[in-house]
Amino acid sequence: MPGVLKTETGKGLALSAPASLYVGLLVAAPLAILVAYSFWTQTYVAIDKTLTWANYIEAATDPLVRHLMLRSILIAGAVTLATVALAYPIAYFIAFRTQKKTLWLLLITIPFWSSYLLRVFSWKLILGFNGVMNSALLTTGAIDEPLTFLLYNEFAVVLTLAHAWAPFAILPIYVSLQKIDRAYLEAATDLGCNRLERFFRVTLPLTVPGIIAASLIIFIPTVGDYVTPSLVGGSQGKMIANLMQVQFGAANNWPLGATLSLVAMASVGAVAIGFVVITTALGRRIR
Amino acid sequence: MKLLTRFPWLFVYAIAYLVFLYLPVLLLPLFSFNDGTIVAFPMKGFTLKWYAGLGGQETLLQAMVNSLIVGIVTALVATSLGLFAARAYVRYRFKGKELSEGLVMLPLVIPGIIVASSMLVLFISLGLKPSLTTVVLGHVFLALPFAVSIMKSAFDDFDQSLEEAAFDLGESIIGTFRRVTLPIVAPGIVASLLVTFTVSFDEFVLAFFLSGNQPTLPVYIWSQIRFPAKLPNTLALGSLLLLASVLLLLTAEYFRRRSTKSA
Amino acid sequence: MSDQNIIEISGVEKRFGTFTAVSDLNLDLKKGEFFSLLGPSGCGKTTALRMIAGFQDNDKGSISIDGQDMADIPANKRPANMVFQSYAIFPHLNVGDNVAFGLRKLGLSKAEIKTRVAEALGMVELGGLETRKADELSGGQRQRVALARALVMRPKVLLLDEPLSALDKNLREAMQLEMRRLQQKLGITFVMVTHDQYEAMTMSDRIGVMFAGKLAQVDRPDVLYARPCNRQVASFIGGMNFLQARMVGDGGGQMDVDVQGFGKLTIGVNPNVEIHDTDLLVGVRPEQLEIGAEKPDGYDGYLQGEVSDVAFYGESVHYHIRAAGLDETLAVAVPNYFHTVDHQRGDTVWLGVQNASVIDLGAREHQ
Repeated sequence: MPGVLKTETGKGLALSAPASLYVGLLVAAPLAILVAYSFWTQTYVAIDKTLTWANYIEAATDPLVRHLMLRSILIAGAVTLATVALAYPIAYFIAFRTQKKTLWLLLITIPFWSSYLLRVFSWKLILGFNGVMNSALLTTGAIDEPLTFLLYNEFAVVLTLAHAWAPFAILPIYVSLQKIDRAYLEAATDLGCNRLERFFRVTLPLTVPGIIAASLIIFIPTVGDYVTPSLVGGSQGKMIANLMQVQFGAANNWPLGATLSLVAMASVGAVAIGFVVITTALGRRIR
Repeated sequence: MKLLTRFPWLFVYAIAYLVFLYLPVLLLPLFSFNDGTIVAFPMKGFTLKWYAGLGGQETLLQAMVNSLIVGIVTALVATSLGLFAARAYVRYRFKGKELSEGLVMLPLVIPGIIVASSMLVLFISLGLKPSLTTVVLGHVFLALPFAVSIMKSAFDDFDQSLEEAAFDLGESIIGTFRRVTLPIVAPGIVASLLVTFTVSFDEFVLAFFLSGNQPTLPVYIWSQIRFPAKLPNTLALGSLLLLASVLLLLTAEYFRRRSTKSA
Repeated sequence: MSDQNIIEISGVEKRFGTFTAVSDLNLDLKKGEFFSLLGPSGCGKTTALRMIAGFQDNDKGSISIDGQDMADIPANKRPANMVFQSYAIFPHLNVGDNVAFGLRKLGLSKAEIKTRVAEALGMVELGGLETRKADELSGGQRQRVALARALVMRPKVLLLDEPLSALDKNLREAMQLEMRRLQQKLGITFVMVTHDQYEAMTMSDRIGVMFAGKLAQVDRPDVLYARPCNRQVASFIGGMNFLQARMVGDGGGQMDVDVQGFGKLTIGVNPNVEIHDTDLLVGVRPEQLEIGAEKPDGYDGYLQGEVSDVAFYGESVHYHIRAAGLDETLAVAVPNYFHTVDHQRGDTVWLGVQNASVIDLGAREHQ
């Protein structure tokens, strides 16, 4: 053993093993158990360990599951699109148009460090029927009666999540913009491009990796978000996580919950891979 | 053409974006001082009674203690694991390094509900009842990517020859680590402790699934959100929490900067 | 190379805050010439090039290309293209798309673009490498792609910012010859910025030497070497021994001078020198001094001294000679004809110099 610890590989593995084993075990073990549960069934408190496809069949045929899964993916897609589109100009501003980069980066990350639960809760108060936004607009006379489209729908969910994920979109895009050698931009100008053409032909393609990173880091967790749809989503804005929570909680149907988890993960993975492939291909087509 | 300064659209947009970012964060403290139970304009008047009302609530206090315990243990465990792993990643080249580095970042991209539900199932199957222990186990999992990346940047700026110099001057391996390495990366360690503590302190979904009958602060707040009558108290509590998080993180940022400057 | 001007720069000045990067720059470049701006780093040569390209605005003066004033013409509309120091090969595009980058703006047909790209790549000897990825190129190949990408635009002027500094020595020397050949074949005006005197001398028709934002001298390489206008230019291009001298008589383009150590000599008046005085500075190139154990025959001035250092360069041997009455040692370069090092440290030797080898550098006070 002491011999092994003298080599670089030995030392490296020994030092990194606790962390990677911890994460590895807490990913692999629950996954294995989820897989097992997904083939079992539950009646009240008793688990029936006969292997069956029943849960998968239910997940595949239940229109509610299909509806919520599809809506979760669509909402997550909309959130990703909105967040990245809103964040790109900010990242561009910090990378190219200001000297005070550190200050701006700090300003943008501070709100993110407050509790996610509280921020979502705050949006609920802002968007509500008798909430801050409506009362402010009523007081100033901008509207005569409260706006009803603000809360308890997909719009509220997308807005709230676009806010929650902002730094996760800004930072990777900022990093990829910051890495661009200024000579590339000058070369594009030298070869006849105006500002707009230069952006679309050089800057944007060079930030595709940042855009992909930002999109994945937003899209994947958003599909399984629980707090936001619960607080601001209303019945229109419910997502797959709400259904999963019910299975593990009130409905007490763990096998179905496990199945939903696995199906959700598989769908997210498939969509994410598709997204990466398509975006990379699109990036390559720009010449 | 050169004299024509272009209108700073991007700057205006950036300011508007900041307003969007800060609006919900500043709203809670604003209305926590409002002398009324409805969160709406016009505001009624200034009061501190909602803060005063927080004192002496037994369940709130217990939740606070629970959160502190979970946060401190999580910070210590995650930072220790992160310290060693980051050291390995920066210092050594070894087989499986990329795999290991990728693995510890995984918790960042798994949907929270899936982590929560699958851990609940695992712990129950192992005979571990939902409790603060299970919450800590889950929070360490979530906080690890933060600890590893902060410690990695601390070690990145650490000049290898300093250790070699200490070694050359006759210090042992452990002595070198204690007398040279630790003092120099100490600001990074403090930053990691603060950040991982905050991650745990603010975390809701995992705690909601895994805390059983020992709620942490966010779980307690979740239970209070449903009662409109308790809204002002919840606002006051939330404001205090926001303040604590921001202060902790600014301190962490200060230490993180120091760790990168000391090199 | 014709007598027609392609670039006319007059009274150009550029400031960055309180720092004057370029001051009162006046320069006319001929159609089809290979021109180099030579100078130490920070002398303003790159700023001058970037003003021609349009990446930097000039605070004063005017720049015109092919008779057209460039003041209101942005960089992307100027008939000049640039080879960047880092080459700036777009990493997201392959070789063919890099070269075609500027062409796609011109509304050419696909077939035409393809032909012109192939032609440009053939010109830099990279024919058939269109689909090669940017990150699979060697340093020399990147340089060629950068060259092809700029030349394919058929610019009136090609601007080159330290184009060879990223290459190793052997490749650099090969590329110097190749770029020179290419320039002569195409007949396009090349303007190159470099800090390497040999690169400037081997490639250029004319060289402009810059110091501290000012153009010191513009001339053919051989003239710059033989008749530098002052001490600064003389020491930046090639080696030079500086000696004090007194003027004792002049007339008819000649003057009689009393040179420190060597005594009375009759030397030509340097037309590039601005101010003359009785107290003069003169220079002698190390390779133009004769050295011998015995006093050599047929020289106009002599000096006896002691060898203080011997440096072996391979193609030549440099001796450093200390002589009575001289403040500094004199360097003498002897071609390595027979693989012998004839003198050793401590040897007493004779130096001989001819009138024609002594360069008039003007008044000593104005150096």
